[in-house]
Amino acid sequence: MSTIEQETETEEPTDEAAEAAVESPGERRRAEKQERTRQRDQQRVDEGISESEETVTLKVFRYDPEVEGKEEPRFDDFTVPFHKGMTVLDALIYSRDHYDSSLTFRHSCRQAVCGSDALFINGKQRLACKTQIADLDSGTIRIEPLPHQEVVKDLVVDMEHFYDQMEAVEPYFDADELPEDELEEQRQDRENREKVKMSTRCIWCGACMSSCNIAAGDNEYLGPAAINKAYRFAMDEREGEQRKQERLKIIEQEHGVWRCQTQFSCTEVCPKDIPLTEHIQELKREAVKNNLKFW
Amino acid sequence: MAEHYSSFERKGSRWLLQRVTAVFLVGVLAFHFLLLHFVNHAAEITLAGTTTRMSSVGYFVTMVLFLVTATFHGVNGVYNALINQGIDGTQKQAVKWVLVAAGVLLIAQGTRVAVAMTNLV
Repeated sequence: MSTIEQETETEEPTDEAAEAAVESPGERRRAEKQERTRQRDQQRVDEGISESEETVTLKVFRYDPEVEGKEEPRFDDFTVPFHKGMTVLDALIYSRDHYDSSLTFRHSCRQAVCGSDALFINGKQRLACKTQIADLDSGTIRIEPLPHQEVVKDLVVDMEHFYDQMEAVEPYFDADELPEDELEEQRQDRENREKVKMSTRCIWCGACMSSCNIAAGDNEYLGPAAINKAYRFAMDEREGEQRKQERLKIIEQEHGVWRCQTQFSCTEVCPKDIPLTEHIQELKREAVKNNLKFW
Repeated sequence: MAEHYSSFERKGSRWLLQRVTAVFLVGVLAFHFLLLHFVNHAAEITLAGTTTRMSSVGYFVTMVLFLVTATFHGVNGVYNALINQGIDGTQKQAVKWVLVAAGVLLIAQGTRVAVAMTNLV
Protein backbone atom coordinates (compact mmCIF):
# COMPACT_ATOMS: atom_id res chain seq x y z
CA MET A 1 0.00 0.00 0.00
CA SER A 2 2.77 2.40 0.90
CA THR A 3 4.29 2.19 -2.57
CA ILE A 4 0.96 3.05 -4.16
CA GLU A 5 0.54 6.07 -1.91
CA GLN A 6 3.99 7.20 -2.83
CA GLU A 7 3.21 6.82 -6.49
CA THR A 8 0.09 8.92 -6.26
CA GLU A 9 2.03 11.55 -4.42
CA THR A 10 4.74 11.67 -7.01
CA GLU A 11 2.25 11.50 -9.83
CA GLU A 12 0.29 14.56 -8.88
CA PRO A 13 2.83 17.14 -10.03
CA THR A 14 3.34 15.37 -13.38
CA ASP A 15 -0.44 15.31 -13.92
CA GLU A 16 -0.59 19.01 -13.28
CA ALA A 17 2.25 19.60 -15.68
CA ALA A 18 0.49 17.53 -18.33
CA GLU A 19 -2.73 19.44 -17.82
CA ALA A 20 -0.83 22.62 -18.26
CA ALA A 21 0.35 21.38 -21.66
CA VAL A 22 -3.33 20.81 -22.68
CA GLU A 23 -3.59 17.03 -22.35
CA SER A 24 -6.22 15.44 -24.60
CA PRO A 25 -8.71 12.99 -23.03
CA GLY A 26 -7.14 10.15 -25.07
CA GLU A 27 -3.69 10.86 -23.73
CA ARG A 28 -5.03 11.00 -20.19
CA ARG A 29 -6.75 7.63 -20.61
CA ARG A 30 -3.64 6.04 -22.05
CA ALA A 31 -1.54 7.38 -19.20
CA GLU A 32 -4.02 6.03 -16.66
CA LYS A 33 -4.08 2.66 -18.37
CA GLN A 34 -0.30 2.47 -18.39
CA GLU A 35 -0.28 3.22 -14.71
CA ARG A 36 -2.85 0.52 -13.98
CA THR A 37 -0.85 -2.01 -16.00
CA ARG A 38 2.30 -1.12 -14.12
CA GLN A 39 0.56 -1.53 -10.77
CA ARG A 40 -0.93 -4.86 -11.81
CA ASP A 41 2.45 -6.16 -12.94
CA GLN A 42 3.95 -5.10 -9.64
CA GLN A 43 1.13 -6.83 -7.78
CA ARG A 44 1.82 -10.06 -9.70
CA VAL A 45 5.47 -9.99 -8.73
CA ASP A 46 4.57 -9.35 -5.09
CA GLU A 47 2.06 -12.19 -5.07
CA GLY A 48 4.12 -15.18 -4.11
CA ILE A 49 2.56 -18.54 -3.40
CA SER A 50 2.49 -18.72 0.37
CA GLU A 51 3.19 -22.13 1.87
CA SER A 52 -0.22 -22.44 3.48
CA GLU A 53 -1.99 -21.89 0.15
CA GLU A 54 -3.66 -24.78 -1.65
CA THR A 55 -2.07 -25.43 -5.03
CA VAL A 56 -2.58 -27.55 -8.11
CA THR A 57 0.05 -28.82 -10.48
CA LEU A 58 -0.43 -28.57 -14.22
CA LYS A 59 1.46 -30.86 -16.54
CA VAL A 60 1.33 -28.99 -19.81
CA PHE A 61 2.32 -30.26 -23.24
CA ARG A 62 4.99 -28.04 -24.83
CA TYR A 63 6.15 -28.09 -28.43
CA ASP A 64 7.30 -25.50 -30.92
CA PRO A 65 9.02 -26.62 -34.10
CA GLU A 66 10.36 -23.11 -34.66
CA VAL A 67 12.12 -22.68 -31.34
CA GLU A 68 15.38 -24.35 -30.47
CA GLY A 69 15.00 -26.54 -27.41
CA LYS A 70 11.26 -26.91 -27.91
CA GLU A 71 11.37 -29.00 -31.09
CA GLU A 72 11.10 -32.17 -29.05
CA PRO A 73 7.66 -32.40 -27.43
CA ARG A 74 7.82 -32.39 -23.63
CA PHE A 75 5.69 -31.68 -20.56
CA ASP A 76 6.27 -28.68 -18.28
CA ASP A 77 5.02 -28.55 -14.70
CA PHE A 78 3.41 -25.40 -13.30
CA THR A 79 2.29 -25.01 -9.69
CA VAL A 80 -0.67 -22.70 -9.44
CA PRO A 81 -2.50 -21.39 -6.33
CA PHE A 82 -5.99 -22.84 -6.22
CA HIS A 83 -9.10 -20.85 -5.44
CA LYS A 84 -12.71 -21.92 -5.29
CA GLY A 85 -14.34 -21.87 -8.72
CA MET A 86 -11.03 -21.99 -10.55
CA THR A 87 -11.18 -23.49 -14.04
CA VAL A 88 -8.40 -25.15 -16.00
CA LEU A 89 -8.31 -22.08 -18.24
CA ASP A 90 -7.79 -19.83 -15.19
CA ALA A 91 -4.87 -22.02 -14.18
CA LEU A 92 -3.38 -21.89 -17.67
CA ILE A 93 -3.72 -18.11 -17.78
CA TYR A 94 -2.04 -17.90 -14.36
CA SER A 95 0.81 -20.09 -15.60
CA ARG A 96 1.29 -17.97 -18.70
CA ASP A 97 1.16 -14.67 -16.80
CA HIS A 98 3.41 -15.74 -13.92
CA TYR A 99 5.82 -18.37 -15.25
CA ASP A 100 6.16 -18.54 -19.00
CA SER A 101 4.73 -15.92 -21.33
CA SER A 102 5.48 -18.16 -24.31
CA LEU A 103 2.91 -20.76 -23.19
CA THR A 104 0.45 -20.75 -26.07
CA PHE A 105 -3.23 -21.71 -26.07
CA ARG A 106 -6.41 -20.38 -27.65
CA HIS A 107 -9.07 -18.79 -25.51
CA SER A 108 -11.55 -15.98 -25.84
CA CYS A 109 -14.94 -15.75 -24.15
CA ARG A 110 -14.20 -17.85 -21.01
CA GLN A 111 -17.84 -18.93 -20.85
CA ALA A 112 -18.14 -21.98 -23.12
CA VAL A 113 -19.54 -20.03 -26.04
CA CYS A 114 -16.67 -19.33 -28.42
CA GLY A 115 -15.32 -22.89 -28.61
CA SER A 116 -11.66 -21.82 -28.74
CA ASP A 117 -10.25 -23.72 -25.78
CA ALA A 118 -11.13 -27.37 -26.36
CA LEU A 119 -8.17 -29.29 -24.91
CA PHE A 120 -7.29 -32.84 -23.93
CA ILE A 121 -7.50 -32.55 -20.15
CA ASN A 122 -6.75 -35.63 -18.07
CA GLY A 123 -7.32 -37.85 -21.09
CA LYS A 124 -10.62 -36.39 -22.22
CA GLN A 125 -11.65 -33.65 -24.64
CA ARG A 126 -13.04 -30.77 -22.57
CA LEU A 127 -13.40 -27.00 -22.71
CA ALA A 128 -10.76 -25.57 -20.39
CA CYS A 129 -13.04 -22.68 -19.40
CA LYS A 130 -15.87 -25.03 -18.44
CA THR A 131 -13.76 -27.55 -16.52
CA GLN A 132 -13.66 -26.90 -12.80
CA ILE A 133 -10.38 -27.97 -11.24
CA ALA A 134 -12.31 -29.12 -8.16
CA ASP A 135 -14.18 -31.62 -10.36
CA LEU A 136 -10.99 -33.28 -11.61
CA ASP A 137 -10.05 -36.19 -9.39
CA SER A 138 -6.29 -36.23 -9.79
CA GLY A 139 -3.92 -33.85 -8.00
CA THR A 140 -1.94 -33.23 -11.17
CA ILE A 141 -3.81 -31.98 -14.21
CA ARG A 142 -2.45 -33.18 -17.52
CA ILE A 143 -3.19 -30.77 -20.36
CA GLU A 144 -2.53 -31.69 -23.97
CA PRO A 145 -3.64 -30.36 -27.36
CA LEU A 146 -6.62 -32.06 -29.05
CA PRO A 147 -5.59 -35.47 -30.39
CA HIS A 148 -5.78 -36.38 -34.09
CA GLN A 149 -4.97 -32.86 -35.24
CA GLU A 150 -1.60 -31.42 -36.11
CA VAL A 151 -0.03 -29.40 -33.32
CA VAL A 152 1.04 -25.92 -34.38
CA LYS A 153 2.53 -24.86 -31.04
CA ASP A 154 2.04 -25.96 -27.42
CA LEU A 155 -1.73 -26.43 -27.03
CA VAL A 156 -2.71 -24.93 -30.38
CA VAL A 157 -3.81 -27.37 -33.10
CA ASP A 158 -4.47 -26.83 -36.79
CA MET A 159 -8.27 -26.58 -37.20
CA GLU A 160 -8.22 -26.19 -40.98
CA HIS A 161 -9.41 -29.73 -41.75
CA PHE A 162 -12.23 -29.42 -39.21
CA TYR A 163 -13.43 -26.19 -40.81
CA ASP A 164 -13.21 -27.75 -44.28
CA GLN A 165 -15.49 -30.57 -43.15
CA MET A 166 -17.91 -28.08 -41.58
CA GLU A 167 -18.07 -26.08 -44.79
CA ALA A 168 -18.58 -29.23 -46.88
CA VAL A 169 -22.13 -29.59 -45.54
CA GLU A 170 -23.06 -26.03 -46.52
CA PRO A 171 -23.86 -24.85 -43.00
CA TYR A 172 -26.20 -21.98 -43.74
CA PHE A 173 -29.94 -21.50 -43.99
CA ASP A 174 -31.01 -21.61 -47.61
CA ALA A 175 -34.75 -21.87 -48.23
CA ASP A 176 -36.23 -23.04 -51.56
CA GLU A 177 -38.73 -20.24 -51.53
CA LEU A 178 -38.53 -16.86 -49.89
CA PRO A 179 -41.63 -15.00 -48.72
CA GLU A 180 -42.97 -12.55 -51.25
CA ASP A 181 -42.73 -9.60 -48.95
CA GLU A 182 -39.08 -9.25 -48.07
CA LEU A 183 -39.95 -7.95 -44.61
CA GLU A 184 -42.02 -11.02 -43.79
CA GLU A 185 -40.46 -13.32 -41.20
CA GLN A 186 -39.68 -16.94 -41.99
CA ARG A 187 -41.35 -18.50 -39.00
CA GLN A 188 -40.59 -21.95 -37.72
CA ASP A 189 -43.22 -23.85 -35.79
CA ARG A 190 -42.42 -24.75 -32.20
CA GLU A 191 -42.23 -28.50 -32.75
CA ASN A 192 -39.72 -28.12 -35.53
CA ARG A 193 -37.69 -25.69 -33.45
CA GLU A 194 -37.58 -28.25 -30.61
CA LYS A 195 -36.36 -30.89 -33.06
CA VAL A 196 -33.35 -28.87 -34.19
CA LYS A 197 -32.80 -27.03 -30.91
CA MET A 198 -29.94 -29.13 -29.53
CA SER A 199 -28.17 -29.27 -32.88
CA THR A 200 -28.05 -25.47 -33.05
CA ARG A 201 -25.93 -25.35 -29.90
CA CYS A 202 -22.71 -26.39 -31.64
CA ILE A 203 -19.83 -24.00 -30.94
CA TRP A 204 -17.38 -25.52 -33.44
CA CYS A 205 -14.86 -26.46 -30.74
CA GLY A 206 -13.82 -29.69 -32.46
CA ALA A 207 -13.91 -31.85 -29.32
CA CYS A 208 -16.22 -34.42 -30.98
CA MET A 209 -14.12 -34.76 -34.11
CA SER A 210 -11.01 -35.21 -31.97
CA SER A 211 -12.63 -37.97 -29.91
CA CYS A 212 -13.93 -39.91 -32.93
CA ASN A 213 -11.92 -43.04 -33.77
CA ILE A 214 -13.25 -43.17 -37.31
CA ALA A 215 -12.43 -39.53 -38.04
CA ALA A 216 -8.93 -40.24 -36.72
CA GLY A 217 -8.29 -42.89 -39.36
CA ASP A 218 -10.41 -41.59 -42.20
CA ASN A 219 -9.80 -37.98 -43.19
CA GLU A 220 -12.66 -38.00 -45.67
CA TYR A 221 -15.25 -38.77 -42.99
CA LEU A 222 -17.38 -35.68 -42.40
CA GLY A 223 -17.23 -36.14 -38.64
CA PRO A 224 -19.85 -35.60 -35.93
CA ALA A 225 -19.85 -31.79 -35.89
CA ALA A 226 -20.36 -31.44 -39.64
CA ILE A 227 -23.07 -34.10 -39.72
CA ASN A 228 -24.79 -32.38 -36.81
CA LYS A 229 -24.68 -29.15 -38.77
CA ALA A 230 -26.20 -30.93 -41.77
CA TYR A 231 -28.90 -32.30 -39.45
CA ARG A 232 -29.69 -28.81 -38.20
CA PHE A 233 -30.58 -27.63 -41.71
CA ALA A 234 -31.89 -30.87 -43.25
CA MET A 235 -34.45 -31.11 -40.45
CA ASP A 236 -35.47 -27.45 -40.71
CA GLU A 237 -38.86 -27.57 -42.40
CA ARG A 238 -38.60 -24.00 -43.67
CA GLU A 239 -35.95 -24.93 -46.21
CA GLY A 240 -38.19 -27.06 -48.43
CA GLU A 241 -38.03 -30.53 -49.99
CA GLN A 242 -35.65 -29.76 -52.82
CA ARG A 243 -32.98 -28.30 -50.53
CA LYS A 244 -33.40 -31.27 -48.18
CA GLN A 245 -32.69 -33.67 -51.05
CA GLU A 246 -29.54 -31.75 -51.87
CA ARG A 247 -28.47 -31.88 -48.24
CA LEU A 248 -29.15 -35.61 -48.02
CA LYS A 249 -27.04 -36.14 -51.13
CA ILE A 250 -24.06 -34.68 -49.28
CA ILE A 251 -24.41 -36.76 -46.13
CA GLU A 252 -25.30 -39.99 -47.97
CA GLN A 253 -21.90 -40.35 -49.57
CA GLU A 254 -19.71 -43.25 -48.55
CA HIS A 255 -17.71 -41.06 -46.15
CA GLY A 256 -20.80 -39.28 -44.86
CA VAL A 257 -23.11 -40.72 -42.22
CA TRP A 258 -22.36 -44.42 -42.94
CA ARG A 259 -18.93 -44.28 -41.37
CA CYS A 260 -20.35 -43.62 -37.89
CA GLN A 261 -19.97 -46.76 -35.79
CA THR A 262 -22.11 -45.44 -32.91
CA GLN A 263 -19.28 -45.40 -30.38
CA PHE A 264 -20.88 -42.39 -28.70
CA SER A 265 -17.46 -40.88 -27.92
CA CYS A 266 -18.51 -37.61 -29.59
CA THR A 267 -21.71 -37.42 -27.56
CA GLU A 268 -19.70 -38.20 -24.45
CA VAL A 269 -17.29 -35.28 -24.86
CA CYS A 270 -19.59 -32.62 -26.36
CA PRO A 271 -19.43 -29.61 -24.00
CA LYS A 272 -22.88 -28.48 -25.14
CA ASP A 273 -24.45 -31.93 -24.56
CA ILE A 274 -25.63 -32.28 -28.15
CA PRO A 275 -26.88 -35.83 -28.83
CA LEU A 276 -24.54 -36.14 -31.82
CA THR A 277 -24.73 -39.90 -32.32
CA GLU A 278 -28.52 -39.82 -32.25
CA HIS A 279 -28.53 -37.09 -34.87
CA ILE A 280 -26.23 -39.10 -37.11
CA GLN A 281 -28.43 -42.18 -36.69
CA GLU A 282 -31.51 -40.16 -37.50
CA LEU A 283 -29.93 -38.94 -40.72
CA LYS A 284 -29.05 -42.55 -41.62
CA ARG A 285 -32.69 -43.53 -41.14
CA GLU A 286 -33.78 -40.51 -43.15
CA ALA A 287 -31.44 -41.49 -45.98
CA VAL A 288 -32.62 -45.10 -46.00
CA LYS A 289 -36.27 -44.06 -45.96
CA ASN A 290 -35.54 -41.64 -48.75
CA ASN A 291 -33.68 -44.03 -51.03
CA LEU A 292 -34.88 -47.56 -50.62
CA LYS A 293 -38.05 -47.67 -52.61
CA PHE A 294 -38.88 -51.17 -53.73
CA TRP A 295 -41.69 -50.19 -56.06
CA MET B 1 -38.70 -36.70 -58.30
CA ALA B 2 -37.76 -38.24 -61.63
CA GLU B 3 -34.13 -38.63 -60.61
CA HIS B 4 -35.00 -40.91 -57.70
CA TYR B 5 -36.47 -43.88 -59.55
CA SER B 6 -33.64 -46.29 -58.84
CA SER B 7 -33.82 -47.98 -55.47
CA PHE B 8 -30.11 -48.60 -55.00
CA GLU B 9 -28.55 -45.71 -56.82
CA ARG B 10 -27.49 -43.89 -53.70
CA LYS B 11 -25.66 -45.37 -50.72
CA GLY B 12 -27.37 -46.84 -47.73
CA SER B 13 -28.48 -50.24 -48.96
CA ARG B 14 -25.45 -52.05 -47.58
CA TRP B 15 -25.85 -50.25 -44.27
CA LEU B 16 -29.49 -51.34 -44.06
CA LEU B 17 -28.71 -54.94 -45.12
CA GLN B 18 -26.00 -55.14 -42.46
CA ARG B 19 -28.64 -54.37 -39.84
CA VAL B 20 -31.32 -56.63 -41.33
CA THR B 21 -28.90 -59.56 -41.53
CA ALA B 22 -27.83 -58.89 -37.92
CA VAL B 23 -31.44 -59.25 -36.76
CA PHE B 24 -31.86 -62.46 -38.77
CA LEU B 25 -28.60 -63.92 -37.42
CA VAL B 26 -29.53 -63.19 -33.81
CA GLY B 27 -32.92 -64.84 -34.36
CA VAL B 28 -31.52 -67.97 -35.98
CA LEU B 29 -28.74 -68.25 -33.37
CA ALA B 30 -31.38 -68.10 -30.65
CA PHE B 31 -33.32 -70.82 -32.47
CA HIS B 32 -30.16 -72.94 -32.70
CA PHE B 33 -29.39 -72.61 -28.99
CA LEU B 34 -32.94 -73.32 -27.93
CA LEU B 35 -33.29 -76.37 -30.15
CA LEU B 36 -29.89 -77.99 -29.77
CA HIS B 37 -28.77 -76.93 -26.29
CA PHE B 38 -31.98 -76.65 -24.29
CA VAL B 39 -34.84 -78.60 -25.95
CA ASN B 40 -32.84 -81.49 -27.41
CA HIS B 41 -29.51 -81.54 -25.71
CA ALA B 42 -28.04 -84.72 -27.23
CA ALA B 43 -25.64 -86.67 -25.01
CA GLU B 44 -23.76 -87.72 -28.10
CA ILE B 45 -23.59 -85.81 -31.35
CA THR B 46 -23.90 -88.07 -34.36
CA LEU B 47 -23.84 -87.55 -38.13
CA ALA B 48 -27.15 -89.39 -38.31
CA GLY B 49 -28.78 -86.74 -36.12
CA THR B 50 -27.38 -83.95 -38.29
CA THR B 51 -28.54 -85.71 -41.46
CA THR B 52 -32.05 -86.12 -40.06
CA ARG B 53 -32.32 -82.43 -39.23
CA MET B 54 -30.76 -81.24 -42.49
CA SER B 55 -33.05 -83.46 -44.53
CA SER B 56 -36.03 -81.44 -43.37
CA VAL B 57 -36.54 -78.81 -46.11
CA GLY B 58 -37.43 -75.98 -43.70
CA TYR B 59 -34.34 -76.59 -41.55
CA PHE B 60 -32.11 -76.89 -44.63
CA VAL B 61 -33.39 -73.62 -46.09
CA THR B 62 -32.91 -71.85 -42.72
CA MET B 63 -29.32 -73.08 -42.50
CA VAL B 64 -28.47 -72.04 -46.06
CA LEU B 65 -30.03 -68.63 -45.43
CA PHE B 66 -27.97 -68.39 -42.27
CA LEU B 67 -24.86 -69.20 -44.31
CA VAL B 68 -25.62 -66.50 -46.87
CA THR B 69 -26.55 -63.80 -44.36
CA ALA B 70 -23.62 -64.62 -42.08
CA THR B 71 -21.24 -64.44 -45.03
CA PHE B 72 -22.61 -61.08 -46.14
CA HIS B 73 -22.62 -59.72 -42.60
CA GLY B 74 -19.03 -60.81 -41.96
CA VAL B 75 -17.55 -59.82 -45.29
CA ASN B 76 -19.36 -56.47 -45.40
CA GLY B 77 -18.28 -55.84 -41.81
CA VAL B 78 -14.62 -56.40 -42.64
CA TYR B 79 -14.94 -54.21 -45.76
CA ASN B 80 -16.45 -51.35 -43.75
CA ALA B 81 -13.90 -51.68 -40.97
CA LEU B 82 -11.17 -51.27 -43.60
CA ILE B 83 -12.90 -48.26 -45.16
CA ASN B 84 -13.06 -46.75 -41.69
CA GLN B 85 -9.29 -47.06 -41.65
CA GLY B 86 -9.24 -44.79 -44.68
CA ILE B 87 -8.30 -47.17 -47.51
CA ASP B 88 -8.86 -45.72 -50.93
CA GLY B 89 -8.27 -46.20 -54.67
CA THR B 90 -6.52 -49.39 -55.80
CA GLN B 91 -6.26 -50.68 -52.24
CA LYS B 92 -10.01 -50.33 -51.83
CA GLN B 93 -10.75 -52.06 -55.12
CA ALA B 94 -8.37 -54.90 -54.28
CA VAL B 95 -9.91 -55.41 -50.85
CA LYS B 96 -13.40 -55.28 -52.33
CA TRP B 97 -12.79 -57.99 -54.92
CA VAL B 98 -10.81 -60.23 -52.58
CA LEU B 99 -13.69 -60.06 -50.13
CA VAL B 100 -16.27 -60.71 -52.86
CA ALA B 101 -14.27 -63.78 -53.96
CA ALA B 102 -13.97 -64.92 -50.34
CA GLY B 103 -17.72 -64.51 -49.90
CA VAL B 104 -18.56 -66.48 -53.01
CA LEU B 105 -16.13 -69.26 -52.02
CA LEU B 106 -17.59 -69.44 -48.51
CA ILE B 107 -21.12 -69.72 -49.79
CA ALA B 108 -20.18 -72.30 -52.43
CA GLN B 109 -18.25 -74.51 -50.01
CA GLY B 110 -20.89 -74.05 -47.29
CA THR B 111 -23.69 -75.08 -49.64
CA ARG B 112 -21.65 -78.12 -50.78
CA VAL B 113 -21.20 -79.23 -47.16
CA ALA B 114 -24.86 -78.57 -46.35
CA VAL B 115 -25.99 -80.68 -49.30
CA ALA B 116 -23.60 -83.47 -48.30
CA MET B 117 -25.26 -83.58 -44.89
CA THR B 118 -28.69 -84.34 -46.30
CA ASN B 119 -30.51 -87.20 -47.97
CA LEU B 120 -32.18 -84.70 -50.25
CA VAL B 121 -29.96 -85.22 -53.31
